[in-house]
Amino acid sequence: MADLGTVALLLAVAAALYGILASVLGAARRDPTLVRSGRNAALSVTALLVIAAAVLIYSFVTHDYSVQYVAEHSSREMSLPLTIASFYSGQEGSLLYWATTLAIYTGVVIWQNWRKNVALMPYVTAILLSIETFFLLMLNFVSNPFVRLPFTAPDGLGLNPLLEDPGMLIHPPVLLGGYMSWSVPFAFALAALITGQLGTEWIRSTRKYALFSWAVLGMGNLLGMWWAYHVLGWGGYWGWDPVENAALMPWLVGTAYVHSVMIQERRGMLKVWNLALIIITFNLSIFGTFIVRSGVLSSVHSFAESSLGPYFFSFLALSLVFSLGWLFYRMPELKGEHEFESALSREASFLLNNLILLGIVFATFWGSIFPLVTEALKGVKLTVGPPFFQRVDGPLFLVLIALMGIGPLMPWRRASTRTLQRNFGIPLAVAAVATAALLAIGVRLAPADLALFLCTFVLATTAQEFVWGTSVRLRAGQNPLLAFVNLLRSNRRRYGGYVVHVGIILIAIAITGSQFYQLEKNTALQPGQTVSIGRYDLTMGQLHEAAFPGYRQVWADLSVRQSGQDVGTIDPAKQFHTNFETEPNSKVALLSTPLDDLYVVLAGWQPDGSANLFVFVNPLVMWLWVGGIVLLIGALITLWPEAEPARVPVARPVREGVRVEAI
Amino acid sequence: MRPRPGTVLLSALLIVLVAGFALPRTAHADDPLAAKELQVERQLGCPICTDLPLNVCDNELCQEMRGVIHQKLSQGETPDQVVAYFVSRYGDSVLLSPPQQGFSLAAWYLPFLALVLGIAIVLTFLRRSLRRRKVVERRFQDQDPTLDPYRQQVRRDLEKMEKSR
Repeated sequence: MADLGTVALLLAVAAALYGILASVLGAARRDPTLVRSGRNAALSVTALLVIAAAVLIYSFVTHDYSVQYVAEHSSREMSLPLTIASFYSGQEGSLLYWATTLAIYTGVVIWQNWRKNVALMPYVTAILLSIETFFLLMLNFVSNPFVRLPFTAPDGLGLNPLLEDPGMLIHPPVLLGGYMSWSVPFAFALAALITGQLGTEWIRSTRKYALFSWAVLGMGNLLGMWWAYHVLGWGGYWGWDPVENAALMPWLVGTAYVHSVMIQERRGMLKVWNLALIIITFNLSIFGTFIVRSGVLSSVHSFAESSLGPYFFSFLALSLVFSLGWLFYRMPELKGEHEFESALSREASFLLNNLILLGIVFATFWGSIFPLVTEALKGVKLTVGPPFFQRVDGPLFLVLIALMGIGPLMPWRRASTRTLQRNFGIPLAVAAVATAALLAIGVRLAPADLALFLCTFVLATTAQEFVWGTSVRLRAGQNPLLAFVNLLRSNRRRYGGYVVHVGIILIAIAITGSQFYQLEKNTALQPGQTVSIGRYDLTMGQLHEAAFPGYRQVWADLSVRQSGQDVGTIDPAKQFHTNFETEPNSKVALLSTPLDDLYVVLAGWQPDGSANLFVFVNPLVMWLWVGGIVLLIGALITLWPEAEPARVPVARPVREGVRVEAI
Repeated sequence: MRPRPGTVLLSALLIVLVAGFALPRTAHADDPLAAKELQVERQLGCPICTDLPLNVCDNELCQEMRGVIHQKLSQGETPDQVVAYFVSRYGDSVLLSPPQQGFSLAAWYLPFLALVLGIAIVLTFLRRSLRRRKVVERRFQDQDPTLDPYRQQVRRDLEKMEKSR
């Protein structure tokens, strides 16, 4: 069966190469037959990759341990969902996952745009196929998931225990999907450069694709934080590890893009800038896909290292030279249609937000590669870890939050002093009052107060926008709820965007709380002893040990009192999985409340029955996940398809029809 | 003279940036000694695993190192002295962030240098754009004064559009 996969992959390379050639030649010679042939080749690549992926899933489900990849990443005792998820747990499978989802997405893009963008589509197809070809070459010749063992193993090795978690079912596919999906805006941008069709066409076609990629990559990051938080056992959700940074960077540049693209749509400015942003985002996505595997940077997430490094750097270099080359070539045709009118305008504040976002990306990138720089120049390998990024990126994020409040208050084109006073007055007052209240209840760490001042300012700004928008409709006689819903519907992108902002602010508040007010204790408890931390008292019961199918577990039971009230027991544990006995993994005990999380890790134990525990109280972390859900809702509001205007034959005068539609 | 709103906004952002960088970051803990211990532990990485901060690493070496930190701090050494002690034993690589001296200063300050450069470029671009715009406006205004009412009408309409958006 696995041989069918091998054949499908080989055929897919051939089809992809033919598709590129046919599309480009067809477009150059204006030969519709050839163009259509190229499109069909692309669709056959989709079909072939779906077959290959299905074959691999089938091999996993039927426990075909004659296939090396299956034998190394699964075992008979794993549950069915995890067995299927093992598909993308190693390098070969995650490449196949990327390639397959790209192929399916390519099919969707062709289906949605073939008639709408006749001029761009052959090139979009060719570019997507070129990216696909790189992955297919890797899959066929460097890292093939269908390689057979010389024998059939009786059972597989099983999954790395850290990956045996529900997070495994959702975080990797979403994150990889986020990386993958930036290919589409990139392909449209590059097609626009190649064809010279540099109008708003490509931007309009890719608006939703870009927002979709942004949302998926953002969710991928948040799910990664959630997984790290409840699995890795160091009390946090973000460790500024190179792999995490690599996932954050394309998302930040993508954020800059979805903002600055609005300036181009409304004012026809910043065309070169937007193209550059999309090129950077795509290449950082490729960088993020591979940095986990390349072994260039050391990381806690490197579950599989490999020889892919040189190939992927070559691909990156090629893609950068090609796309930047076209950008440079078209530069004279990319002049802006308007000039900036004032430094006090929506446009200018977006420009500043872009600058800060890129500043954060630069600092993050520089910090991530700095160990390589010192090693090359000085021969010492330094570490650049959390204290660095907190200090350097932290203040930049604060400025960014301030801009989230300022931007929406700025009118397009230019602001008069009167407008500014009217717009800023209430939000600044609200933020000042809220900060005074925080100081009064004892929140007195200066950086935290600064951050919370800015967060409340943004919340007040956003609320003001919603109130103003709704009140216009209220005056028109609509009831409040309807007015609010209609407001959202009237400009989904704008108000959906504000909802996203609220989600981001909730996340920022959660980060502020847990960064500055985390409590932690590192303690050894004998049975019966009690430790107090914040509003919690933990009393140690007993250490236990037992064998379960697939692993041996040691755990401690502790009874917990919260502000003097009994709230039950928790049992932090260490698990020793079969085949991975030397690398036990922690099972974190977590008690989550809106105010704070109690987070307990069993670090070790002594012969006398005492347990070594890491105990954390992490304030406000629940709001991180709530913020993520709000962000998702906001993204869905912006992405929700507009109702296509119904095409009714003109049976009545047009004016009347318009009036009816408006109601 | 009243300061221009643009200057006020930009200086506010600059203050946020500088304050965010310079404000002291004290560890939050129940008692002062524990706060100092955390402050030291969070600056150091586990020398034998993947740079896990010392406060959350559960291997024996890190436990010993935490013991040493506790002992030295309770003998009255300052957090900086304790950090320096570990650097003298394990080298700079035990630090979780590059030291603020010598070549490593580049790690800390290059991002801000790049940001300043970026701001300078954007400001030049903005100013050029504004100047070109002014030339156009002046030419427009030099013309026939009888057109003034129309100009005002256009401006009013634009503002109305902006508000209703």
